[in-house]
Amino acid sequence: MNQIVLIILAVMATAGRVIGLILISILTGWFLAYASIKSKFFENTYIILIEIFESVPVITFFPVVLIIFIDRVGGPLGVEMAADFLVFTAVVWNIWMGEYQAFKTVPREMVEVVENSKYKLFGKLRTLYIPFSIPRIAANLFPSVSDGFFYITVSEVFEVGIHTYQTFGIGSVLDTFVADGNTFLIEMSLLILGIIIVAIILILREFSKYAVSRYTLDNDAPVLKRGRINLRETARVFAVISKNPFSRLSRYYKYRENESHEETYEKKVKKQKYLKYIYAAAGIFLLILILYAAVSTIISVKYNEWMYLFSKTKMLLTGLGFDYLRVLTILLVSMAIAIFLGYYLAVNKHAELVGIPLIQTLSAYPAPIYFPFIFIATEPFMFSVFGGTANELYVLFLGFVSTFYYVFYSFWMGVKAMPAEYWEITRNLKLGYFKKMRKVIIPSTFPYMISGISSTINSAWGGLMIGEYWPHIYGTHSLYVHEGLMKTIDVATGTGNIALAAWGSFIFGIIVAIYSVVFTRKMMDLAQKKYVAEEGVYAA
Amino acid sequence: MVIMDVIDPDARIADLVGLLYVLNNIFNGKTDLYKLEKEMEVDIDDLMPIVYTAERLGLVAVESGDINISDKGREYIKSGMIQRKKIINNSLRDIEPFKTAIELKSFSLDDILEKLKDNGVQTFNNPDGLHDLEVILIEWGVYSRLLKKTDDGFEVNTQDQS
Amino acid sequence: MEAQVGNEGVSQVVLEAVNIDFSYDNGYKVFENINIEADSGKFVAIIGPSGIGKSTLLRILGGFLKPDRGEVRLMGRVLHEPTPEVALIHQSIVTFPWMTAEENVMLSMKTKNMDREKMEEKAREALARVGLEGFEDLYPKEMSGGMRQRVAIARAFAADPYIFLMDEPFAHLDELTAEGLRQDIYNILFSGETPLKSVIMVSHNLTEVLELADVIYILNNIPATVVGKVDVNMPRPRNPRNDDFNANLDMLYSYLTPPRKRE
Repeated sequence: MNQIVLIILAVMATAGRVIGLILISILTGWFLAYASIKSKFFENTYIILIEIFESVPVITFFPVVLIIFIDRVGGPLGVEMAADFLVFTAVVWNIWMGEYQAFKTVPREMVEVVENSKYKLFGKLRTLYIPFSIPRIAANLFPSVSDGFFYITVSEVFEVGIHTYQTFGIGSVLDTFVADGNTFLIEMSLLILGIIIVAIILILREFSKYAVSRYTLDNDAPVLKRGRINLRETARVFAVISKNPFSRLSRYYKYRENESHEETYEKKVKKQKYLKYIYAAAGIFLLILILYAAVSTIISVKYNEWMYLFSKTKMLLTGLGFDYLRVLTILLVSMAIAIFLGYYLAVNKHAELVGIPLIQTLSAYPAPIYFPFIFIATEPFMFSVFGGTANELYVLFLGFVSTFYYVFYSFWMGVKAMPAEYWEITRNLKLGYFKKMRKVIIPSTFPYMISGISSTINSAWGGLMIGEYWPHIYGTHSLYVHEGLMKTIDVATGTGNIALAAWGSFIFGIIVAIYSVVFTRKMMDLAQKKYVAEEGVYAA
Repeated sequence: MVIMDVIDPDARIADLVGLLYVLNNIFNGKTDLYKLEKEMEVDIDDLMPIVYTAERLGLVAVESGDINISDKGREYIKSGMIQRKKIINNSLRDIEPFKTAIELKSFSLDDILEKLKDNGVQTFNNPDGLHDLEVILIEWGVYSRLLKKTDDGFEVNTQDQS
Repeated sequence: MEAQVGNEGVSQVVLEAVNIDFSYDNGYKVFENINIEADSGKFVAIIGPSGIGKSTLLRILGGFLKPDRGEVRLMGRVLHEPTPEVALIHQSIVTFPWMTAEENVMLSMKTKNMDREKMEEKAREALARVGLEGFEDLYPKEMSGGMRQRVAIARAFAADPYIFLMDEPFAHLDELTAEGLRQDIYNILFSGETPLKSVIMVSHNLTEVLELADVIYILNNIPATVVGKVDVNMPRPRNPRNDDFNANLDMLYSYLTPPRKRE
């Protein structure tokens, strides 16, 4: 019985950590968002930093975290801070971005009302900005909660060389039970974690409904009549819409939008040339951060150690190539499934009613916790059929379950945000299934998909980091792939070769930052230029 | 089926003032409905709910395409805000959903919806009915001080009757 | 219905714009040497072709935007920033959905260090003035558009302003609703029960302007200047169908020839 209490406490500790860190993100985000609407320079720097950090996998921070918190802070506090930091970097970007976008889209008229009454900073935040940001926070909470749980369990226990560091939570408690082989307690842990996650998801859904009914503006869903908003009808339309709060919530899901809400009297701001310098500066800052970790380790390292690291570089790059192939595979499979399943759920009300909460719960249930049990159950079969390739399939599967949700969620939000007129046109023109997908649905969900992809790729990397080298996944069995940068970093960390791990992360960081600036941003710009479906209807 | 006198769900009190002003000041109290429609640049959907409602309140008379302002209507325009509220307050008492509301004295939205159905009023018996009913009770009832909003519904105002 | 409010019937300048120049950051000059005066007891309207910058001018008058040259004076002193004494009323109806009607109204009083009870009382008073007693605890979502605009006006009243700046306040409403609200609002504004002395309204609806205004300023040309000032001396209520009204309408249109680039 004592053990059950221990499990409950551990689950509470883990959930408390995730929720506490989300609250901290929300709180800090309000002030940062306010600072960025007040200063153009701060805004540009802030947004670029968010975008770069967001598209760099959380796991890249690990060596930095290990060195800073374990070495410099040390003790149980250092371990706790290391765990918290990892989770924080997983939850924070979505929320900060959502709050920033909310603050940017506060209607000019409402700002004028509070300015008219001479409100100071806290008055403005309390009466206008914070309430206005609530729907966007609600829309971005689901992915943040899932992300937070995903990393909390791996960050609660980690090994560096012969040292094992752990902090109290369901991840570390479960680790002990697995080591003891206590099946009953393992099952109880999984069950209790499941119950708590379901409870959190249910609370979040209620919160979303409340946020929509209380904090959204009617003119977010304009009812046009002879080119004017028909206020007589707004009350009624709102009543209809509020029956399905998620289709309204989807309007607040993060994706980059045009700042088309600016009024004519607003002074036009010249296109800023210093933007690209800020980009460069942000990139360099990030590299310095990683470099600091690497250098602070390497500085004590001798000349021939450097030679050793350089000699390993080619192997690291090959590994990275393999990993990119894995990420791409995972992404494509996830997208294919998300599109067909997401579409099915979006048009089928009954399936949606059951399907969405189920998927939300599954996504928040951390893959690294249940994965070993799937492994145990399927291992004999998989290896007898696929032989050595089974390892690779397991890793891809882990990547998939850790990532699928983000693609799915952003696609589903996109479908939900699609104007009703588009649905009617597809029916009117009797478009076939694939034509409808190709011409209407996929393009109009494109901005949402793109914004989901950065989260997706992050989690895919997280999945690989865990899966590519998993010693003693149960008993004497281990999971590992032949080639992969993540594996190399894992092995190096595990054997205490921090220099090599840091060097690997450094190279990884550079490539990913370049990829994010060159590729992700391009896609986002394209998405906002061409594919903002709402404007196709309401801009007229 | 009995045709009941019911406030139209689309009738807004601001429209009533507009209608009476235009009728009195521009048309000297009497005109054809089509001329009114032209003058106001409104559709029939926008015009008829308030015309019917104004007639049920006894503020105008509608007869074969003509509309006439009544004495009560003239009095309404000349009055200040408090007197106008009194006029509406008195005129609502025989019209649904307020007749039923007075019968119930204190009620939730579900209560009155149920009771209205029992009394044969079908206007609110549709998917948007509950919301329409709430808007009508607020727009006309609370505005004219006939009703008072409470935490879980409405209550007939007793102290404020004239 | 014409009420003279102010110091014993002596006309007094409430708000004036003196020699205003204004350009956008990209160098486009919007206004040149604009002079406008709102006297107590007068309803002032500003009209002009679309895109001329009427809303921008209203923001300058309210202290939301700084002119490049010239100044805005409220009761004789220079206005540097927005103040509750000059209340801006928007075209789109601005209520805060997360606050009740009463809280919406109290929004404009927060800076005055009153105790809560006194603020509530004042908010109820302001709501009653626009005909919304009994609506204190309702949320904007439970009200129709016309009622919400009344809440916005009550909010402006609660700050005890000397002047209202109205930016096409009826543009988003149906004509029937707008007509009702126009008449009601005119009566409320000039009831003399509040410190309010004057109103400046921007509109593109000339009939609406002629129905309400005592003084009309006409903007035209690029950059915009005041090309005409008209005193309207028709009795109220004004009937858009009588000849006098139409003659005035005709005269207003004569000022609104296509804007010319000035040499």
